[in-house]
Amino acid sequence: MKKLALFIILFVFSLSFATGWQQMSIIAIIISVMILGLIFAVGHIIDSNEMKFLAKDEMVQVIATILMIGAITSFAAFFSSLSTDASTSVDSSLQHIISANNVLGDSATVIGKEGSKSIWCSFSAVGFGTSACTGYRMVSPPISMSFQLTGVALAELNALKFLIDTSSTWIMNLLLPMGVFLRTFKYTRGAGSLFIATAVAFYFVLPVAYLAIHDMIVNFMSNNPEYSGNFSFPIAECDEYAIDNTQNEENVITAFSSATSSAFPKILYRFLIDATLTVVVSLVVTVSAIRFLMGIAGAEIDVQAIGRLI
Amino acid sequence: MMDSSLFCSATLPNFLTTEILPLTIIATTTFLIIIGLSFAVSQATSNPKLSVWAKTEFMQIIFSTVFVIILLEIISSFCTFNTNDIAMLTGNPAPAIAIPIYDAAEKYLTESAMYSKTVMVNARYYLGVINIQEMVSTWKCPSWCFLTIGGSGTSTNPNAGNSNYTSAFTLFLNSSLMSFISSFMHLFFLKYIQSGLFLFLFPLAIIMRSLPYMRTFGAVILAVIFAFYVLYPSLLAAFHVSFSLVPPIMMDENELGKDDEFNWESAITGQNPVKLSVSTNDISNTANIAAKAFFYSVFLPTIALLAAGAAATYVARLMGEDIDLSKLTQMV
Repeated sequence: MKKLALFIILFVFSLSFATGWQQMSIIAIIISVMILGLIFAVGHIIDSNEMKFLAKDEMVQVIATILMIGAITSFAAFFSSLSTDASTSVDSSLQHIISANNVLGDSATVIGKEGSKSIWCSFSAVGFGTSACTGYRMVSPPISMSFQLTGVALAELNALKFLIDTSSTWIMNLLLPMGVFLRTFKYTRGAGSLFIATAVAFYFVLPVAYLAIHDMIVNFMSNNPEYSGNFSFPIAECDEYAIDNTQNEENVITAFSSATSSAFPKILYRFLIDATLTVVVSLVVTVSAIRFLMGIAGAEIDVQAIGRLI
Repeated sequence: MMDSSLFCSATLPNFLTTEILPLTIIATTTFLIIIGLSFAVSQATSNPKLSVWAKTEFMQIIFSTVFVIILLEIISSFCTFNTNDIAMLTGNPAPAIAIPIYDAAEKYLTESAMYSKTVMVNARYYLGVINIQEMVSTWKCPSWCFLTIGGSGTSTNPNAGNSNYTSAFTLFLNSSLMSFISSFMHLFFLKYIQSGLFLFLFPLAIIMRSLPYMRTFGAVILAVIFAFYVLYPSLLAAFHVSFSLVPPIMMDENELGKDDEFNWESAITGQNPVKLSVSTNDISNTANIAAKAFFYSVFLPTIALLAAGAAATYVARLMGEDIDLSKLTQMV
């Protein structure tokens, strides 16, 4: 009997799942309705009001699931291009960070090389050594910190891009069908609602939230060129023999001042606003949407652990 | 009696029928006798409160027993499912070799740990390259230095600037280490579940659900068994089917100590003698795979854990109890 039931379920699944999540959802609903019909019939036979009430109550949930599938199907076509747009926007932000990283890399190479210069002079058994370029090392800590910031930004944006790009793989082909299937049955309603809410939030809300914030940033940057555009980090060559004047120190202070007023604000803006703030706000909105959608999906589950990942 | 991976092993059906089922029957019968005696006493003493209690407990014990039997059936049937069934369920192409659910769940976590390990190794490799490069020093002797005795000239570390990359690679190393630990945490949790220890709680759950003040505990046991024995591994197996976790190319850390990575010809002509290189492109690439490692090892298993917790809450609610498993998510 058990094998037969298993065979029937798998047979029904095999007819449907290969052709998409909508059909699979319909099959899950049919199975659920059949089970509820059986419960109601048994309740009627043994005159159990509790069983009849349970069957009726669950039928309302099944209708709610049907409405959700209808809404998601309608929105899916409309929102499908948003993922592509969001992915392209993330790419443009990534390109800015990568180009900032390349400029920083070139500057780091020059500053490291120039700052390491030293001279040694000896005659017979006596000699002296000195490094007139040590001052160049004052630029290393901000560059090192900038690399840390751009590293975080690259990781954040790459993670977001991966989330968006794979949405069709793991959301529409995995989370949503499983969510609809699990939500149909009372025992797994919590898990099903979580999956549906997560799928809707990551497929619809995340790209919309990201695009909205990113567009604001693009507009802001086009009006405020001091925070946008390419930047350079020019620094004069160090004269390792200039030990009796302050020429090297002046060179590095000029370079540092130029970087502070031009390069670092752009890096910080790119890191703090275009990467971190945009990603964090988008994810916070998405997690909040999961909580809200779980309420709509009929399950109140604490999802603060997802928020902890941000 | 119980090996390290009892679940879905050949000994499971025998274990369920010879150990768990008799214990469940004994627990049920014992409490049915107690309830029967209580009901008899209530009738003899015309005590309606005791009579209501006996009837309520009778319904509860029947409900618990039915649930345990259904759960045992699900657990037995569950082992016949494999990754092909999951692929069919999720609309993904079937894997080349069908493996059982628990094996697929374990494979997903092992592969995600391997992915994170590859990121760790690559970050470590680049940190090693930076260490080697920043130590390279070139010495230039101007024409007049030949007039001195003992040598004079200028010294430069041409790759000293690469030390600035350290902060970025250290960040990726830390991130991938956390991902690696997360994969292992879930793997050990899965192995703990797979050991079958929770199954011994079945009879205990029936007893607990029959005791008025321990009913919540009994419901928690049944809910946890359902969520973590059936749902949690199924979700991890689904991730295994949906994502092909091919780790990125792992850098060879043994290269760092090899003599042939040092170019003597370049050293003599004043060029960079170290063949190993690191650039800002390596930062971008490592950031990319570190982000994916986080997704595979932290994000997806957390979703599985949350879903299992949500299912447990609903199962318990169905049995009339409200449990809070949010503490479980603090493992994240």
